[in-house]
Amino acid sequence: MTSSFWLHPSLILIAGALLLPLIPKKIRTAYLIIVPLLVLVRIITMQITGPGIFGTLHTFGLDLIFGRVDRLSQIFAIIMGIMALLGTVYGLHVKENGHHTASWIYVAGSLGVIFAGDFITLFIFWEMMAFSSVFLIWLRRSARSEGAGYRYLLVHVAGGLSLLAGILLRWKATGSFAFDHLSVANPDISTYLIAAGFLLNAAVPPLHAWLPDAYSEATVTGSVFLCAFTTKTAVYALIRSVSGMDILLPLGVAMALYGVVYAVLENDSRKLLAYHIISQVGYMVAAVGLGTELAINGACAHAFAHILYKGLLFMGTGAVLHMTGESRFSALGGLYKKMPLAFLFTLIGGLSISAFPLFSGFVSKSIIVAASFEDHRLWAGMLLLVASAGTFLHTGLKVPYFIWFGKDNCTSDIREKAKDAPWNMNLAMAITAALCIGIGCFPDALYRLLPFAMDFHPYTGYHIAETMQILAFTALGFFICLKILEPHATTSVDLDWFYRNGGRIFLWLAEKPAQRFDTMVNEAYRAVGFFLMSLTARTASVFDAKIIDGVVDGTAASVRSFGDVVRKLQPGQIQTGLLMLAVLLAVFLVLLAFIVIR
Amino acid sequence: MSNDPSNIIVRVIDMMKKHMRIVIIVSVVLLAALVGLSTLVDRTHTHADIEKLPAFWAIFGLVSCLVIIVVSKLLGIIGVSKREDYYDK
Repeated sequence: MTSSFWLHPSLILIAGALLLPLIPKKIRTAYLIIVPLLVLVRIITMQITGPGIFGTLHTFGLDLIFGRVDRLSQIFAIIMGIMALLGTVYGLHVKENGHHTASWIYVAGSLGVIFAGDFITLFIFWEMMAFSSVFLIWLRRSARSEGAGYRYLLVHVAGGLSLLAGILLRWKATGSFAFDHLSVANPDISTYLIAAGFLLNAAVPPLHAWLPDAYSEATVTGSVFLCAFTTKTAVYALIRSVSGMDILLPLGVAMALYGVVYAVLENDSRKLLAYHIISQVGYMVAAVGLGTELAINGACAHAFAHILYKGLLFMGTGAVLHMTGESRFSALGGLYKKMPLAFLFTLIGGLSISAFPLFSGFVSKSIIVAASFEDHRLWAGMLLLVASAGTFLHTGLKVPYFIWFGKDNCTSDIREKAKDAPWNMNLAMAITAALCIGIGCFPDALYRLLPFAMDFHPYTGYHIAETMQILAFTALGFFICLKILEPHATTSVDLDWFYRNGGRIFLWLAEKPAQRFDTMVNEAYRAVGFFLMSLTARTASVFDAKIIDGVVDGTAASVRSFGDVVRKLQPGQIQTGLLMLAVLLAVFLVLLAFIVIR
Repeated sequence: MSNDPSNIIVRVIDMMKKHMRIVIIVSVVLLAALVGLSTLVDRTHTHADIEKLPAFWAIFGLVSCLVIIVVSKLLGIIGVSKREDYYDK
């Protein structure tokens, strides 16, 4: 067993999380800021030491690589580090240690995946993310969040199993656990299984329904963390392993549109934002599908910008939820006098995600659109621009309008509670907003971090004119349709319907037809059973005398020959068997969940 | 107190609400000016020929917005929208 010491940033977070309960109250706030700050500093120092392979561990015949540092892992690690700090500052008021512990372990998992050089290390951190983040949902402590948490865990366990199956199959075929680019030109089943595991975490339809379901039910600060780490870590993994996989381009474009269409119907502000994560990650997935250097740069830049503005949006709507206890448009409205700061920050987030000039989305999203045009995928570029009109329609207009303006649906209780959020929330929002504008105004600072050198200038006259026209006339459309867009107290069924109602259907099947069959059998037994019983008794006595004695002698020989068969099985076949077992386990878990979870 | 940022935001919004008519007129003028100015921008490096039409992106934005609203409202009508307590039963 050989190892070289390299301070993994995740280690700081894990140690910090474990020590948290021992920290005296007096220095707790400082401690909560210092730990993620140290992590960020540690990540930035890697920028100085430069790229390389660090933290290798040779054990059990495996080469585990904990620290692969290159430009791709660096840019993702930097933004994760920044977000961990901002998210923690936003949640400083949270007294429960468990909340901070869960968030930090979750971030540690994400950083672990980002620096992982092999699939085993990746898988361990991947599962760590799922099992820690679920607490950010459960800690809301409502009946709904409890159900949403179980569903979240169920879906991610299934995705994790697909990933594991792919990793093992690949190892069997190639003998390597290296987390590198898979051959997307000749994909085999292992490539698809690994990609499916990653795509599930990136919330690519039809594997997306867990995201709006979970993120809308999570705690206020929990959602701020959730919206950043899971999907973007998955985008990183996709870039690393399957960039250039053709199918990802149509999937990503479909995703971008799916999110904005569903967002129209949504009444819960945070669920609307969750659908916009799907939409925005769609741009990144499409870019991974394009796979050109410009597209990969676009995916990285957009992930960077997205984490900040989406975090800001969840902070703004979270502040409203924190103060008023309400996140549905149909129960809010007209709050601009009560919560003007939250309005301003949410608006900045909205303008950033909508790619307004001088805001961060403008300099990142346009790289992806330009990459699709450059690759002569006109349809992809155009459809992504349609999606960006939808983005402004909801996040830039609908969210601010129906919370802070529009019809005042607030009860007197909500109106009384509504006032600007605690200082730490406002501080986190102010810094995030400043970063969104900073990136928009000085894009070169972000471009310098990108994995490939590029010659891209977002601020051309044509690009500004194009964007401003799309946005301004989307706004016109919004005000024309204002009446139709008024919020109603509804929920939208998505593909989670299948596993939320599957349980009920299963129970019904178990109750009604099964019960009827049971009754039928009882009746039949009563009618013919007595005759059969006496017949059986007679046969049994003959059977015992003539046959059993013979069989007992034969059994020993059978066991011995079965042992021979097992011994002759190739180890490979046993691995296949184990794999089958894992698949069966997955099926069993899904069935179990259908029964247990509504 | 009056220099408090949150106060300034509220005052600006209140002023705009008070002069709603002017805000609307200015917005419409700005929309027209935007389309007008856009025709002056260099359009030799467009992605597709159709973009050379005047006000192409303005129409594109408006139509996209309306299509998204119509499609999702249709989805809502055919059964995607359910009562809020649909899953709570």
